[in-house]
Amino acid sequence: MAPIKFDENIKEKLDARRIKPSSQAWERIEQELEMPVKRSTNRKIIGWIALAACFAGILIIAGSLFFRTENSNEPALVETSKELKETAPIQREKENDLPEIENKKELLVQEELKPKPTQFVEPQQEILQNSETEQKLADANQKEEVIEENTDFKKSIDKKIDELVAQVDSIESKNKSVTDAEIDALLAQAQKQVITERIFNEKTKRVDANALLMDVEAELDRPLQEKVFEALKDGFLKAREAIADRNN
Amino acid sequence: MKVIPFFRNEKQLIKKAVKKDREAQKALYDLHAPKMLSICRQYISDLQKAEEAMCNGFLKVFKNLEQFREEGSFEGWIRRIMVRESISYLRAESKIQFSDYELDKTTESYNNVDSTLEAEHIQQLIDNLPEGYRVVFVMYAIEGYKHSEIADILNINEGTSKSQLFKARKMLQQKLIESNNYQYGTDKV
Repeated sequence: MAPIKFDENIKEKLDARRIKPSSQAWERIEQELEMPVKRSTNRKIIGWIALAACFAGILIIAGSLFFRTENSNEPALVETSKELKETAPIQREKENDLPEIENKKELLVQEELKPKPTQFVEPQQEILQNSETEQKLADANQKEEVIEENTDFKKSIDKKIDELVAQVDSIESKNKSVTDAEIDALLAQAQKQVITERIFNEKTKRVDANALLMDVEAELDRPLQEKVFEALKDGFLKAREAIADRNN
Repeated sequence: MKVIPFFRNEKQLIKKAVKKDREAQKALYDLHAPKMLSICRQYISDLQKAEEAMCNGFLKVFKNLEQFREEGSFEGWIRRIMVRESISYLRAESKIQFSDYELDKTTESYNNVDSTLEAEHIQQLIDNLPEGYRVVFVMYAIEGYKHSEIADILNINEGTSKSQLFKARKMLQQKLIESNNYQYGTDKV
């Protein structure tokens, strides 16, 4: 018998065979078919949660990177401009390139802060320039304060000179003549008053710490007192001369 | 007359089963399970284990039913799944060994399979074959796989498949002779 026939005979017999499965077989299949649905649902939910978490994570990382990059691009410029805005209103004029400058101080600052013609500036260089600008602004502020102080000082001296002239006139009207000693005494008194006024501001009722310090230092720094005295004396003499000229 | 309604009915059942209709799934199972268990049993000598393999096979059938393209017969599609499932079981149990056994070289012709020989007796003869012989023999002689397909599925050479088949036939022949001698007391060549 040929092997093919042999195979066919066996195949015929086995193909015709049927084996009835046990009743538990379908139950098992049914159970298994129901379970994966839940599993797949859970997997889907977990998948969505994982996807959302990944998305949130990417957003956070991208956001932090974006802001970090933005900050690192121009760190000094942003902070410098803020500081300058706070410290000096002149800075705003510089930034806006306002063409008109009203007073001398602004002119001075403007000249100093005038930006160089367009040229590429390295970040490091820019930071240095900014710090230089800050220094210049601080100097300008100091100058401004000095100017203001000098103006007040002159005003108070002028006021005292007027008072002195008035006092001398009243003494002259009473005694017909005023001695140099009396004038010196009056000048010394006026000098003291000017220095005191400088320390204690009547309007604000405040003691100027700098002026007080200067007064203490004045003990060592005699030229300051002398300067006040000389200013009073010169002013007084000029006033007197002017009055005398006017009377003549 | 009855064949056409049966196929129409099976197509409808498949469509419903794709939509997870449990009744349709049960109907398909009832229709094919006895045959599929018989196929699994050809590979696995333990009936309970064969049933387990069949259950796993049906689970795969229902889970992947939408992949069935209706190009071949539905039974053929299930059969292939059952064969693969049975082989997977044997692999998991590390039972498939493609070893050579000493055969009686005097046997050259094949005895006729006695028509009175029951399928269960043939199954017993097949069960007594070494796993490697049995799998290749069942795949080739009963399921109709080619040697190239068998080699591909079992990860062996085509030559190994052929030699395993040859040796399986020889061994079956010997066992058949022994069985006939036992039954009739004479050789039946």
